Amino acid sequence: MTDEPHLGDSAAGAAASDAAAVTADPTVDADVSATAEQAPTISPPVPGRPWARRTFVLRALAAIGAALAAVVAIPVAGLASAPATKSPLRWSLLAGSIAPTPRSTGFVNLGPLSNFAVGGVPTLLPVTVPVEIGGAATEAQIAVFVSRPHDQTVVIMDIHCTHMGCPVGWSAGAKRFLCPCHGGAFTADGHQESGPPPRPLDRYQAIIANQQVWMGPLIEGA
Amino acid sequence: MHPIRWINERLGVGSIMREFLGRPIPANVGWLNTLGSATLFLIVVQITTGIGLSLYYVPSADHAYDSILHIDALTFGAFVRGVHHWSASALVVLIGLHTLRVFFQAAYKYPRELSWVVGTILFIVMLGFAFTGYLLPWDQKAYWATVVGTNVAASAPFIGDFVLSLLRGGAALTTDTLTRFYGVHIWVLPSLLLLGVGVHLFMVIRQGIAANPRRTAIVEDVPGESQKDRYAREYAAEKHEGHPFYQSLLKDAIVAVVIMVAVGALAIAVGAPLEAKADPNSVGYVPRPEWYFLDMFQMLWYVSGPAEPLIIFLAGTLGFLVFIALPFIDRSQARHFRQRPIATVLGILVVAGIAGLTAQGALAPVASIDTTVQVDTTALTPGQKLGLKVYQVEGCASCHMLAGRGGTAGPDLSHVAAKLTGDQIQQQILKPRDKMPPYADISTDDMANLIDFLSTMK
Repeated sequence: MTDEPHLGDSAAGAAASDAAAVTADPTVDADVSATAEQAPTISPPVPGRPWARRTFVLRALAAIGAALAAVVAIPVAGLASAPATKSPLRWSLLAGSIAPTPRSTGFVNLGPLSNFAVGGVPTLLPVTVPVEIGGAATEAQIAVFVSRPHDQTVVIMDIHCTHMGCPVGWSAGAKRFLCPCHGGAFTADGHQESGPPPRPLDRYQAIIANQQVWMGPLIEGA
Repeated sequence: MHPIRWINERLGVGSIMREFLGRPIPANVGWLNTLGSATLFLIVVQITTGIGLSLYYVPSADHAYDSILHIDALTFGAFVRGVHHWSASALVVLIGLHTLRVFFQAAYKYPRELSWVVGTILFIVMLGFAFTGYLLPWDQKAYWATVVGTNVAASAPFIGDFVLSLLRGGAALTTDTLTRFYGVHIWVLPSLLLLGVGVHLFMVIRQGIAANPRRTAIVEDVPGESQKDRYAREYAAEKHEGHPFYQSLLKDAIVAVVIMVAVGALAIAVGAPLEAKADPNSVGYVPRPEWYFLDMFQMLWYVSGPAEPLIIFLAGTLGFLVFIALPFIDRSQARHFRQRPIATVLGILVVAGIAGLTAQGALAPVASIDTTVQVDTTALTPGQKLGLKVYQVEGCASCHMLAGRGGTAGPDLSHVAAKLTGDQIQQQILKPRDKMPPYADISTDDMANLIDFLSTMK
């Protein structure tokens, strides 16, 4: 076989065909460079009106193509990002993690207040909560830590470390929540004590009514 | 008429193929240059095995895990899944090595800058495949690594919540997350991959493969010659000394065979791992990512404080921009590593950093509040045995290593008595100087026993 085209030539060729490709861009007047590449194969330009027709057609095609692409792509992009535009957003400089727990849409009875001993020991409790997934109202089982620091106060906490979302565990001996990922520690009522967590454990709305404990939705963006 | 001749008479590709296979390439192109083709080979393996898996896989939180069990029970199912798993790891290794080859040979310099840019995008696409792919089995590792991974993405300033919700398909990690990871894994990323690989390969053929750098140039200097003309003359000389392309294909084939044997052997001998089904409520589970994300997971140890999300974001963005724009940052003509010591040393430092973090993450023991230490208690006094019990109950092992077991958040206590006196240890427990929380409510007796026990750790 013969030697490959000289590199300088191929680079120049590529540059010229690039220029031809952008003639559709209305901001670029590429008539001259396009002429150099294409002239021999098409009838020569009319003096004074070089390639006006071709440029017009290419620009029209680009406009039609862009419109068609937008008509298809915008709804698809909107569909793909629908959940993100629906969720509450913090728009914060230092936002950080978000609990991955399915969001409860209502209140759930966690049982009588007397089930929870007064003091600093949280109870790990599985709870079935109403959720909406994929547009359908359904149920999900989530886990929460419930503690009752004072007689008429109940704190319901999400199990996820606020650093990166690993599940924290309650150490009965140390009387604190410890995270197995990067050494975060939280007090019994969920305040960050040491390590990287930027904020207390996320909480759920908690209501005591008629000596019954009710759990509401996650309090977002604390 | 011979069928191939019949087809060629209509397609007319024979001359193109002859040209393609016979085109000269530089003589010193060798084994290191097989890394790109090995990557391409594994991409084909991934697409093929991925299609096989997609015939049975069900992208739903309720059924995904069971469909994986089903695949593993089918004829060749475990093998195909094993190949997909191990080939994914091999792909990350090979695309990394390929990138390093191009970096250390400075093959991204004129006229191959665009090949590098497209290559870096392909690299990111590959990490996207890895990230979206390993959620799909919906086992514990998958679920919790995705919790952490999406939270890392949430560190972007202002748009963090939006990015996270976009990734998870909402604030929570649910079946909506699984379906979108699946859609991205089998449609979006493969489209980008095929487009990128097409452009990447086109440019390799268009510009020719870069000759391995020489310390002494193959051509003489010509005064007044432009850099581009000089390059063209140099490359023409390299090709003049070279051999036809098809001769290199034998090396590529040998490497592909070796890789296939290795991946196949791992698929048979080890198989694709599968942990228990994802349990979002499993307090006590210790999340760990797949090895290729361990460096990032480990990096989280080193950035903390209120600005952590911003640091993660800025470091990640800056790293990505430098990676992608390298040919426009490193503009010297030198290609041999001895003639570009700064780039070479920086490259080695980055590689050592990534390897070090990965190794550190891989070797870090998994520890939680339930971790128990195993100490030879025969020589311990009753008080020291009680001290060991205090150590266990207080969850010290969650953060501290002792006799090879425990966490790495705090210092290793295996030889703590050699460094600190009993009083100093007690002081550290009651009023820690650093990130350890104070353990002020340990009873006097318990504390005495604990100190007694730790004093045996010399």
